[in-house]
Amino acid sequence: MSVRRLFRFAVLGPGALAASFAMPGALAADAFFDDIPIVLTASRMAQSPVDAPVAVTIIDREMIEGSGFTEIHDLMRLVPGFVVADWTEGSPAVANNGLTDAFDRRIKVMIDGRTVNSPLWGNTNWHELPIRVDDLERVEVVRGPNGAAYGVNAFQGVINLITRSPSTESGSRVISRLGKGGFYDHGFRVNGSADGAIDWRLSGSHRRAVNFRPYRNEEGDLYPRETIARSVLNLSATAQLSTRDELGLMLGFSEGSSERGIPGSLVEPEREDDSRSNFLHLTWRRSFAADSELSLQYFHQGERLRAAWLETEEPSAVIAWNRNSDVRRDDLEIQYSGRLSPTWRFMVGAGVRQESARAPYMFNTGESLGGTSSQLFGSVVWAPMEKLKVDLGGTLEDHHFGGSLFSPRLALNYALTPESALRFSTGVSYRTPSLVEAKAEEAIYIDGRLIDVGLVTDGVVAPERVRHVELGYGAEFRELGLSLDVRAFQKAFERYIDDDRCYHRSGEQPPCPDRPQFSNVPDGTKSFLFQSGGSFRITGGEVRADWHRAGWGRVVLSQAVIDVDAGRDIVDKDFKEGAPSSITSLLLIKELPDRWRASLGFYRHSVMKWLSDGDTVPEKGRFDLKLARSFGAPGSGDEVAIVAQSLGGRYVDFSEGRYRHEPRLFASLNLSW
Amino acid sequence: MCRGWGLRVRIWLLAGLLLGLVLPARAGLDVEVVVSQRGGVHAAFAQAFSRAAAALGHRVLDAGTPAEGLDDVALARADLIVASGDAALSAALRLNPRPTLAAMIGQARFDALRMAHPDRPLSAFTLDQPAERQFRMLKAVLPDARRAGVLLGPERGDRVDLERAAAASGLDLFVRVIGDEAELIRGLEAVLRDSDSLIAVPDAMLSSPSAARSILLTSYRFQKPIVAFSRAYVDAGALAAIFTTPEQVAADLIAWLRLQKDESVQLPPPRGPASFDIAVNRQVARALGLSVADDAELLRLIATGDQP
Repeated sequence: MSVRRLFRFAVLGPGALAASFAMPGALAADAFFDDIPIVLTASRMAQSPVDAPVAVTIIDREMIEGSGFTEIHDLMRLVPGFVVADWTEGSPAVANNGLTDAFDRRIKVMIDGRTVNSPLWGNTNWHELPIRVDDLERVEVVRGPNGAAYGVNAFQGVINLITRSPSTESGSRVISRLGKGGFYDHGFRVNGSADGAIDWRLSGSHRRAVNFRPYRNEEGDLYPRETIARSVLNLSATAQLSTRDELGLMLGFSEGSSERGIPGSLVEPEREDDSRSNFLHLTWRRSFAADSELSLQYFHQGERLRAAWLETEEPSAVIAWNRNSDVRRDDLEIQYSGRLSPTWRFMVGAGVRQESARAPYMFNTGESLGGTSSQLFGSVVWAPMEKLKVDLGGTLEDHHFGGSLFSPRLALNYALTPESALRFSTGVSYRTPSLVEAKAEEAIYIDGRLIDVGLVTDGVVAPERVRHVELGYGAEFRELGLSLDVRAFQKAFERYIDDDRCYHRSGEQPPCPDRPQFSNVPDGTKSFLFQSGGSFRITGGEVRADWHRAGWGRVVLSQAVIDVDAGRDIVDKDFKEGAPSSITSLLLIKELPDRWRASLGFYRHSVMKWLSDGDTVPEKGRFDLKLARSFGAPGSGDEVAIVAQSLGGRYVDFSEGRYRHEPRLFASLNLSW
Repeated sequence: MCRGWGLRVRIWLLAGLLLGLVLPARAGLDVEVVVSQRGGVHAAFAQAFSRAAAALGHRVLDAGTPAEGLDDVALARADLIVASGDAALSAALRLNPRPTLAAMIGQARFDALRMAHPDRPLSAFTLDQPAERQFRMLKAVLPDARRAGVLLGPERGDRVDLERAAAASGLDLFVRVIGDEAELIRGLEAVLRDSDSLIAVPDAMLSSPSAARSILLTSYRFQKPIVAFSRAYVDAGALAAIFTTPEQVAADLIAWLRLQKDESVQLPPPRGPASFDIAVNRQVARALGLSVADDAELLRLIATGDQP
């Protein structure tokens, strides 16, 4: 579909909707025969792990509440094979099987189908997300490459954060958390009246948390602190215009400061970074049947960072500069799914996206960089027999600096019984370099002279590629209250982009790019060059067991084993240790008498190395505990609780030599009326 | 499509009239049919009814719609008025009192109209499924269900009947009554929290598109299946429904009409549907991790009251 036709559709569609909105009589009721809005379409329902073509983990509301987590990135600890780390200089990082630095740009993160990865680094700024755990209905995590369904950059996985529909809530609610060490997190939710034409919810929160206190290591070196404060405001509204048409509006705003740096240090003095982000998301969904739907969405995302910075140069020059950035993304997407016959289903879609970023410190220019990308995607599902489904899909993306890339995927799902299935999938996915990886020229000036370069690129950085294959087994034994997900996989990565040392005009290998503007950079100065860091293969297996019994509680156990086979062309030897060989998570939720509930979380991974700014993190487990008592009307969600995160105290995070994350102890009140 | 249905109804009514004329040996009844609308389900009912009634030798005539105006002369001499739907019945009741049989109408609405016209010779074949049949349906699709939830609106329904029928199917019943739509979500949450499934009832307030949408989304949030009363509810996301089609309503009326003498009619007491159909949303079943028997087996289980 051409862009012109897309826009014509966008203009005509809402007009037709407005007409139907003006005719409430069209909704008049004859309960037995009148149409009802087609609510549970395939896109709205979580796909059963037994039916899914690829490995999908769902973190539902019970797990979210039971975990005691207050930050969305922490929820990813519950996903088999996922690791999470935080550091003092920016957003936390989430990785599927490791092999990631502080900028987790290989996992695509979406909120209700809207991509939130930053156009600058491609990573997710978890602290800046304009929603909170309290807004989430569930999280669906695709645990592997899936460019065919989600487009380029769905490289190591896809996290879709699904918020609660405003039409499933009523009244008002306050959520207040208050803890040791200056931690607080206060929020509210107000819902529109259920009998109104528009379902809406306004939610907001303000929080402050000390994540890291200055850490002095065994050598006596002092490392930075981080205290974050964030305010979030979010509006979500839906209008059922007719039995077929639903219009959605979501907008949100996040603003806050991060206190960073080392007290008393001239090298990394204390500072305060200010960040803001906002989004607008408009959706129109027309449902024809449970498996037939047309959707159109537009979203805008904006991020602004103001970060004063001091750079220390040898021998003793301290230079004031900044890491200010302004980025934005506008995205328009249309998608149609339907059924051709009882045995053939299909989905097609198209999207166009415009991204721009202005970050003078990173690109050595005051101009905005960016461009427009477009994509076509689609899949067909063929069920030649009741037990077998063949799912063939692909995405063709024309990226503004990555060129044209095609990500295909084939998946087979064979039902062994109505409760269990085997699945096989294979495909190729790509990741285009982020703007930073493609255009970095992190220049440092003194008196107008460029005297040093941090990150830099050398010409065109090729897209990363992964060829993947997995064999899985999914089962839901409802009578036993048990669901199982088992898989074995192999992922062969090529041209994995990494920043590694380069040297200016010294003869040392590899050399940095020699550009006229680098002429004042002293010979032999070290910079960091984005380059294809080589190829490697990850082989692994995962098991997830989820057992539930009403009145007793629930146990969710995940275990992953991972082996990295690095190729000879690896530039950074840390790749070999970049993934832990074992990752375990356990969430135990126990119902107790008198509406008490206790939950225990255990999260552990074996030794691993976070890349670039990170380093070794030894094998260590983290225990979390939550004790809650609900009150008020059943189902109201009213609760008082005490939560302890990391019962063992401070724990090593991201780099053993530099960071000790603070534990957390707080009480919470969740009250509705 | 509506125009097509209307045309077909008129053709059948005309055919019925002609059949009446060419069969003078049998007197038959003068049956006047009033439909709420020319198209859709009322046309489907009128078409099925008129064809079968004419075949029985009755003179079936089209007495109009509330929108077009009714043929009050014809209605005044009718042996039987058949009114399809709420609007048709309301309009017919404003004219001369003749034996009137309502069809394609819910029990609550019929009761309200009958209360407003206590002296009329009036009865109905209502659309409400007997509570026992609904709970048999629930047990057929959810054999493990132990505790069923019901949310009742201002019409309230027959709570005692529901409780008796639930007990007969071995189910505990959790009932919550709400007074207005503002209480919907809280009421739903309370019901869903304590139940393993929800029986949706055809209360006018709870069946509005916005209320149905909230019920479907909230039930899905709780991962609790809904057993409902219309095919549209199943298309929208309910797990299953038991309902009676317009053609089946017509067949129920015809079965009664066969027993009537040619000269006069004896109205039956108001009754629910004898015939029914079912629908299952297999996609929702998969999403909820449920394995539901095939339709033929479900119909057998409902008919026999057996449990899988």
